[in-house]
Amino acid sequence: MSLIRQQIENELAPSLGFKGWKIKAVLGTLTLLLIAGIIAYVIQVKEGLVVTAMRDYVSWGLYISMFIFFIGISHVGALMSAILRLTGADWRYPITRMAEAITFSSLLFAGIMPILDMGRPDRIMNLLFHGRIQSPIVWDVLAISTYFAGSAIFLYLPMIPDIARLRDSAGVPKWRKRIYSFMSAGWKEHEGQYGLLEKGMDIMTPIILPVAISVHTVVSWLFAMTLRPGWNSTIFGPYFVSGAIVSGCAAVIIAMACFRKAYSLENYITKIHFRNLSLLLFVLALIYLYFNLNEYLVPAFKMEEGESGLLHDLFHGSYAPVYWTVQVAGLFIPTFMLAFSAIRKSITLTVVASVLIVAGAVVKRYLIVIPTMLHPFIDIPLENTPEGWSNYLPSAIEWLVTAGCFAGFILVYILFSRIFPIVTIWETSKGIEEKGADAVGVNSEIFPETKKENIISHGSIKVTAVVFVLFTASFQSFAQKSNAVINLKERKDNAGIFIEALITQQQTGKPLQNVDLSFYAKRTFGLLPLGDVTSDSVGKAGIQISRKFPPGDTLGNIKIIARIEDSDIVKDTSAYTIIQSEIRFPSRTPFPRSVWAPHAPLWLIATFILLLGGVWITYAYVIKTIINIKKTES
Amino acid sequence: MIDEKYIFTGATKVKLFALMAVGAVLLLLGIWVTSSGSGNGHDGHGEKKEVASKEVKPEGGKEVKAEVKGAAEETHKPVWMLRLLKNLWHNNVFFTGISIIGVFFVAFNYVAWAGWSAALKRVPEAFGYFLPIAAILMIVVFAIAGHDLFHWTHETLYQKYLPDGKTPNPEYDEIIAGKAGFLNPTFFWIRLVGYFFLWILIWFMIRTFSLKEDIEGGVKWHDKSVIWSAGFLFVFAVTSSTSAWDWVMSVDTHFFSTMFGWYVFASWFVTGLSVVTLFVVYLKDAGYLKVINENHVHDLGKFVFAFSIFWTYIWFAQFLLIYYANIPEESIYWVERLQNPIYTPIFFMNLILNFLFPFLILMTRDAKRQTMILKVVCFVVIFGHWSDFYIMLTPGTLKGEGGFGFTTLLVELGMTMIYAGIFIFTVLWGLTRANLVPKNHPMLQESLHHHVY
Repeated sequence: MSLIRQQIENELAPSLGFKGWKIKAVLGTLTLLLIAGIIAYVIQVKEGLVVTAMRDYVSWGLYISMFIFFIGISHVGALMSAILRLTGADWRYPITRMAEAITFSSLLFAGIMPILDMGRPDRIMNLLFHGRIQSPIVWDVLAISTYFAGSAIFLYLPMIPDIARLRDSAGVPKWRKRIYSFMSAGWKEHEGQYGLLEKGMDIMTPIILPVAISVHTVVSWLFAMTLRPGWNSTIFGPYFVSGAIVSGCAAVIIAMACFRKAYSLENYITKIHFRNLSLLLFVLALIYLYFNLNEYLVPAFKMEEGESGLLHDLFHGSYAPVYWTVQVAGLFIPTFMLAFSAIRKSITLTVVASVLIVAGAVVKRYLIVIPTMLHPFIDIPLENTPEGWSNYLPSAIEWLVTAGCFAGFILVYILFSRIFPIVTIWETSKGIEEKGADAVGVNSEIFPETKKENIISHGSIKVTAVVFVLFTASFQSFAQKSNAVINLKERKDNAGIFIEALITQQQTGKPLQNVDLSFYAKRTFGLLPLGDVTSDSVGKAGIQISRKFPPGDTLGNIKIIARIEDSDIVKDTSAYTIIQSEIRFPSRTPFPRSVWAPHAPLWLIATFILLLGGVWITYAYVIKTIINIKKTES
Repeated sequence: MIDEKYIFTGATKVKLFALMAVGAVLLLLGIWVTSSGSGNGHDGHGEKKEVASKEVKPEGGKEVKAEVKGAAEETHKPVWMLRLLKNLWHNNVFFTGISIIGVFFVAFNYVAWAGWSAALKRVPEAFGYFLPIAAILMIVVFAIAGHDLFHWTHETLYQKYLPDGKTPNPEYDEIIAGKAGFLNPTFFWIRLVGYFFLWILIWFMIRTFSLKEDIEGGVKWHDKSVIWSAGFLFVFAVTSSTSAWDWVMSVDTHFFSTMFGWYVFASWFVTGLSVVTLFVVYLKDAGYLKVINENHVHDLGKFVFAFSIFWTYIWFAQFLLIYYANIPEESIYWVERLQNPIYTPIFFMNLILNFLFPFLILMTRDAKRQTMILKVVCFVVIFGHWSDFYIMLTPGTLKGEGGFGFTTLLVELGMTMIYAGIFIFTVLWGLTRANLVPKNHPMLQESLHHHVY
């Protein structure tokens, strides 16, 4: 048994177990919060979703936002272990288990969040019994369970040697000993067992990476496939993946700082880890920033009707303060901070930047989900909307349940760290023996015999400063405006159809002059602008439409909408009329639309079965490797 | 061993000129055959054009009707001429992409402090010599062919009313008019020149530093290169997307995809990596680059393998979303390609060549270390991405007449051979301008002792 390993074990020993009032107080508080969340959830199940603030428009509220958040930070395990392992970064050893445990614990709660959102959680099994393979919800369930299983194996495999050592050590309570001896898979430190373990890791590493990426892509498709403005964007998959990795990397920096302080790990988690991870975080944040430009500026340029409503809300409407705070404080400022090596060298400032990013990520998920839900397809004038539908602020129950989930997530994480060593001991000591303490990033002074000279010295990387131009939000004036009524008339002539609107004041019935009226044709997903007309002296405004354009629905009907928007004189209002177009939309659609079709297209089924099958077969093989480890016990 | 100069022998030059000459002959032959055919009915595609129109119609809407008209009718140019212009543009975009990826490769290796690639860095560095040529070609071709290839350049699309000021203009296109802020010739020209100015400038700086480093040594020039490379990554992040919208996406003016910039970048990147690999392998075969061994080649193979998967991920994310959403102005893009017998085979061939083939062949470790296998895969991948650009550009420009017939193949192949000849000639000439191995690169030792498992 190597001395280094013994030394690390001795230093980590105090962090295990539940002795001392501090840990009991922390765990007690978290448990209380979790219980409060459970009680709130019981009330929600009993009374129904009416106790939440979710109504017809916003049916995905805080819960689903937090679902994306949890899935997001779960990516850190794949990032730390798989990517750093593949690229051969030796400094990863002391932090891999922290990262993987975040993955495990956050996925546990990510899986619960959608169930919390259900009014009838007892029907969850219907997804399996009656689910259709062309539904993104089914993909999601399959992908997340696959990822969960994979990350559990990935977390467990390198824990085996450490667990075996705990099993054999003295002074461990009986209940923990029982857990250790069950989980140690008969580990006896054979050469052959190490070989099997390495083999298992070698197989899991490349497989966990695509699984992790596919999970977040599929989560994004859950949104993107619904065709809603702000969601239906081809870039959504990679956009979610990059957002996830950023928040996950920031989360692991925070976790590192906490464990370093609480468990006195200053010798193991050093400035080197913070410096490397902050550099990584900087690059990831830049990529994410770039995706943000793609996601918001490109549709802003396109400004399709539905999108423009949403972007209007985000850029200078009701969500603008939150939106700009998140983009600036949760993304621009931390990225800008991390650009300076002086800041990256300071652990405190790196953690500050990470906290900003994680906090920004939480709110950002909220901004991805809620504003889009508030822009429904069906064109209902605001005044006809029932109370509480057109706005959303989570109720106390929702806050409590969410807080309970967060508490649960941290609780599971801390419990894990008290039962199992949070730093992988055997890998760290192996790394120190083979590559030297400096390469692993641990304090070389506590391992004097392992000092090795670094072949290449990496200087700090200077990065050119980026100047971000921030646009000041424009403010709308709220002048006193009167209500208007629009009456639409249709007149046919040789040239086509002429739609005439008469705009009058609601109270007096007087015609209104100089009011800008916009005409639209209702399309399946949004409004097609036909033109803007200003009303004349008798309050009339009209527009000429060709009889062939725009085409109608299968019956030739077409809904023409006239709207007053942002007028200085009157409040916003709208009216519509239905006219006959000469062109009918053929009932045959160019693609068999999978979500409406009773059967999924064959290529879709084949793709999913092939991918999923491949992953699960690999899992099975790795599990068999673990069984082989157990078999070689004697 | 490290002092090594590339000698551009007469025999190589003759081979390259022969390549270009054969290309020119094929091109002229192709033009002669297609132009002497009657009108747009060459290769029997006239009939297929009808099919295409029928498929497009159900999408409805004014914007589609304009496209049904057929390319030749709209521009009053014979089809063979249009194809030639499209072909010029296609090869411009393709080879510009390869050369800028060379600069990108150098830049990200600097920024990442990657040591392994130091010994082979002169190869991608030399790609930059093609950039000025690409700039001139791009400017000339856009000046000549811009109006025929890009629907949005037609001024009538933006006028709501006819000159009398009352009658609605039947050509007026609301959607395109809405994009006028970005897609107008002035701004397009500014961007086109701007991209090349920035790209060439940064490449020139990095190249100069690199050459000075050879003479003076020290880490000073390396540090400078890192800073300029970081700057390049910023510039390229934005310009790779915007140039993709400009040069490729705007051909289908109504179509729109937030992923498109990344898609074109991915395609360029795999192609660029394959070309780097091919150059390295061929230089080794010719007895140069002795310090490069199978470990470096292995890493290049990994790059080609990994980014083929990356391309497929981007491709799939874009395709599945549009397929699933089925919004007319987006799905028309795939309807044009998937329900048109002219383009469907190319569409599927694209997936096989760019994903299945490199994925299956390069999966094992040994395959990535065999130069023979890499040669085959890289050629296939380069051709695959060439056809990827074909399928991106052709349906929007040639509409129903963009088939891959025998005679049209002569035009396509001939022109590509000429371009490839010029590109290889420029790069080889660029290689003669400096030592083949950057002898004072601070990380050269790491590269010389590079070893991967």
